Amino acid sequence: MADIMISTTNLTKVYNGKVTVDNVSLQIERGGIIGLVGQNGAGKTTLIRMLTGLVNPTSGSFKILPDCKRLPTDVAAIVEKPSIYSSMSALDNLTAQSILLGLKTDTEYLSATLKLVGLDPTLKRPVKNYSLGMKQRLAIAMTLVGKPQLLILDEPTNGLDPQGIADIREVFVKLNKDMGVTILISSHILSELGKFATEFYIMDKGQILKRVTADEIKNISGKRIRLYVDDTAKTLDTLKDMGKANICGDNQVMLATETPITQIMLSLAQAGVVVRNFVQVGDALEDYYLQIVRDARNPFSDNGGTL
Amino acid sequence: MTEIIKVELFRLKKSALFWIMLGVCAAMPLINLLITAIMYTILGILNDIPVDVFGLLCQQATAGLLQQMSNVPNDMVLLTIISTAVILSKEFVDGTMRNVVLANKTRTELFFAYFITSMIVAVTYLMAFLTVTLVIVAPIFGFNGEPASKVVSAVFCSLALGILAMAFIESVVCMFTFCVRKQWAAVLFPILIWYGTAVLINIINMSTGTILGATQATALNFEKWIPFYNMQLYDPMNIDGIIVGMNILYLALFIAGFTCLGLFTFKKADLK
Repeated sequence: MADIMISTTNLTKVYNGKVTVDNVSLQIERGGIIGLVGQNGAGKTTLIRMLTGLVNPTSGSFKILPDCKRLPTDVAAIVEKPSIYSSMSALDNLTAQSILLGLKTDTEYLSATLKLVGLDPTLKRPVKNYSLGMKQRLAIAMTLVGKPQLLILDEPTNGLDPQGIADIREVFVKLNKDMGVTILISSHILSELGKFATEFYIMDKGQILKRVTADEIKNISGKRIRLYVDDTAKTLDTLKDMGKANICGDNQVMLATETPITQIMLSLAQAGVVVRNFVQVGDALEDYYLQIVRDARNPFSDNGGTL
Repeated sequence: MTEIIKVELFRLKKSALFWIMLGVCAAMPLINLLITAIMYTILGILNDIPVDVFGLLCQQATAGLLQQMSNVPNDMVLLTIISTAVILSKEFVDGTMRNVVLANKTRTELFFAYFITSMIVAVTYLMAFLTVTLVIVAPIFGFNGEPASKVVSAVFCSLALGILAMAFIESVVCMFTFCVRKQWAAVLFPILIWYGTAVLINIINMSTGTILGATQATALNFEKWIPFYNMQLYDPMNIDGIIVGMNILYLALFIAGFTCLGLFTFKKADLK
């Protein structure tokens, strides 16, 4: 079996003189859940469109499953909106997908796939009458029909309610852990991606800025605490040996540290700093992403690329 | 490619539009005859002369229908355009074309699979028209006493020309569907071309009559060589080799041209 699932070399796309994807070279190995992170307009969708063959690159090249012969069932994707036959029922959509992939139509298996994503297989009404969330679930079911080796997902949780997002996340994690499916997932909801992706590519203005694993982010960020204090200057001075501290708002200081909270509070109290409130902040990925993008856009800033 | 065709046939089976148009195509010979009979009756009444409607239909009904089905500018072609353009272009509207690309099918496979599917629809409609003509119209009105050998040649020649005419129009439908990738364009432009052939025929009719003079035009026999116009001259019961041959040549060239244009444009296109 192949170890490299996706390999790109200087992949570029230019639309009417505007560079949307700029010399992207990446390699995605088998077995992970890879988050493609970036704001709107960063080039994530265009990159995914090129990888799925919907858009021709302006220059550069890419290979999907370069080490083996690619079968129709090997790769599945959701790109932007759900690709579903609006005049057919959910089960008919999956049947059509089965036929397209050259699979035997197994109604029981297709019904089970629909149930996996929270849809009722007995519903006969055409999909055009479904809500956006239901359409998205069906689109996810369509990608699962062929039991792919690689799933490429562009904003797959669009339109889903929080429970739906959690359910679908569980499906992806299960697919990855139990069936070894490699997943490339792009999203601008970093808090959601941060919960289950194992690796991240940070993208901005068409370029890949950084590749980082989930563990690396945890190590870099450590524990982060937002302190609401009366004197930020005194706070920074007191905490300078306990971790990395910086002002993050009016009378607010963000501290990245491994020091126990009691020791921090004791030190601040001894220094005469009044702490009105403190909150343990969870979104290491978001902060890391913002820092990387900030540094890329302003390379002469003081921070130098670390939290 | 076979998987794509199978999916499209599955979709056709589920498509109400396909079945409705099939029903209309099957009814068309009878509708045409009814309209013809009504017109003859009205003409007789207006001119105050007795008209043997049944006798007139016996002379020309079956042959007329065979001639009609071998032409581009006929109503069945219009129904086929609407049916195939709407069904095919829905793949772009729904975005399901992406599923096909993701299933590792090439653009060439995709294009020809849809062309073949549209031809399956067109030939199905044609066969429905022909079946009703042969099973209902022919037994009632006959072939005006023509021998069996001529009848058989007429049927096969008309069917072959009809299939070619359909192939021409489907190449136009596929070209616009894959080049423009918008449903309204996939329906509108082929209809305009279909209508344009009828207009072209009328213009040529008027031109040969007024500019060159009918006698001179007939003596030159050059109207047999004019594309689309020569289809009007096709008589199933008196097959002219030049007319049939030129029909086949022109339609084959147009089919090749539109197909190549559609295919090469689609291969380079970005799909949304």
